[in-house]
Amino acid sequence: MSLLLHNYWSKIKEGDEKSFELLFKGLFSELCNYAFQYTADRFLSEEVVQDVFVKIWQNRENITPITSIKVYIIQAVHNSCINSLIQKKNKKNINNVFLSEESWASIQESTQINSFLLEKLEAEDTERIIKQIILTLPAGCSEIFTLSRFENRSNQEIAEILNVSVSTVRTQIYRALEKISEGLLKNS
Amino acid sequence: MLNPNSINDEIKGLIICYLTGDIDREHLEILNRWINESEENNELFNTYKSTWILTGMTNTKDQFLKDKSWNNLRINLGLEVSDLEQELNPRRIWLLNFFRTAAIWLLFFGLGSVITYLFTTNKVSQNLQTEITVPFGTKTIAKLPDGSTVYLNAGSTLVYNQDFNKAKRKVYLLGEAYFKVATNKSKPFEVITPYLTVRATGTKFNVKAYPNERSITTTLVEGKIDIRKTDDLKNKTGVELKPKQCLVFYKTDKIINPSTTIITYTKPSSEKNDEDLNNYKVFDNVKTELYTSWSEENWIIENESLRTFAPKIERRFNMVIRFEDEEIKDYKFTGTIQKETIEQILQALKITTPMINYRIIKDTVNLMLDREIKQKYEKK
Repeated sequence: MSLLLHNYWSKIKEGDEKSFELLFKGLFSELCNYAFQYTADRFLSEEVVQDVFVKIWQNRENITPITSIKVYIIQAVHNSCINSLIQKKNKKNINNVFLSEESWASIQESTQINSFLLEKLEAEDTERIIKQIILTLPAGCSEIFTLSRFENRSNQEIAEILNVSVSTVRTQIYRALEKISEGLLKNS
Repeated sequence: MLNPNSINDEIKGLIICYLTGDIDREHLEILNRWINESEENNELFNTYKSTWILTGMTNTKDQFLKDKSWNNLRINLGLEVSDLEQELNPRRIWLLNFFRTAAIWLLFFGLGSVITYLFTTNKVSQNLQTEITVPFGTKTIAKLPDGSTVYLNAGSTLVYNQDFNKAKRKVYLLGEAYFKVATNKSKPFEVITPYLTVRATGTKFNVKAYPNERSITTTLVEGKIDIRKTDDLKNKTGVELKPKQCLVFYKTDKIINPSTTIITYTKPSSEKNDEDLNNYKVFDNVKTELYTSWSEENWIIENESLRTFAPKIERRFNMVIRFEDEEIKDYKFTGTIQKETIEQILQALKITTPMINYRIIKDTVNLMLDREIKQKYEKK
């Protein structure tokens, strides 16, 4: 994928609209899913991704990604999400209602994408490894993880649906996460 | 490598709470302290957080509108677009919608657990009320202090006072909710809407009371409930419902202002209203899942006219539906909706009812009649 993306990018730099469309459509879902984790809003995630692509097209001649264009775009989406959070934070009346100082601190802490995440974003087989590991999880564990991660259910809801305790839900999500992390680390 | 021995069960739980957005200040602090204790802890936490983000990115559910977004982008950049199209697609106004703003703020507190957060923070007002508001385009689930569960549909608000569960269990509702009431015979559970009050001790029932709708529908799944007029709770005997019965109450006065807050109807109305609870109908043996399944994974719709189905879709997807031909309102829709997008639902409608065409422009769905196809069908 990254090699292919590299080819796209050199064409896009020359102003090839078709390649730009392919790049947009190829990365769109993944990027929206990324943004969604910050915005928790479907439409807003689409907006953020669209806006990043607008800027990329407008500045295409000056952009030379250090690693890969994909990582470059993800970093841009990330920054865009964080920036809209900061903008909102600076508007009065909103910060004190929703976000405590502590959680604000943890947002600022996340203005940098950490190296492990970057490495995995670049790796071509990350998605495949994750899907494979989910398949090998015990049935209950993978069901709970799927409900949490892909159905966007809260721990409370999952507990209700499966008639188990909330702490069981957390334990199972932890197990899944532990297994997936181990699998990803093994392939580093 | 990860060293699982270095981490105790409490911290494991807190990490998951953090990632799933289910953490309060106090616990966030404990977690923060643990992260800062050692480089190793910090690294472990970052690995888990990264893995969490990565798994989120592999979500293959088609929840984002790729083609629509591409079209918007093309228009923004002025790539090969005709004037006409441009006119139909004014640039979307950024971030103005309050609910979106709220959604951003709730981000670290995750996707489904808005409620947990509201409960644990300063959302309690001077009157010591707890208010849960669900924006359009989403739904949620709340656990009340007495152990009862409430599923709240899009565009609904539920309020209860600080003394909930002391002597009585009272909640105020605008919109639609499905209640699973924890049994407690000594403390009746009351759902108060501007017109009707539903009283129960331990049952499952659905109340649909959107302020901008002409009727209030109460459906009983299990147990027993009693329905009275809210402004006349003391004097009149109420209507009792048995399981699988559904009571539809028709409002006779003017539609109340949707912005009317719940607080205003906690006081009894000053006007004397002698009218009995008489503008209602009780339906027996209804399929209760048609009234309650919106709260579940599979939302079942059976033979429902677009007239009543459209407002539900509007709320669920935060869209506006416009009927270009009045007679479309009488066409019926049947189907089960899971995670479908509005386009997929409209496609399904198009397949079962080919004479209906649709066009989506921004957040508006236009439905119109294709008269040629309609004539063809009528000839057959």
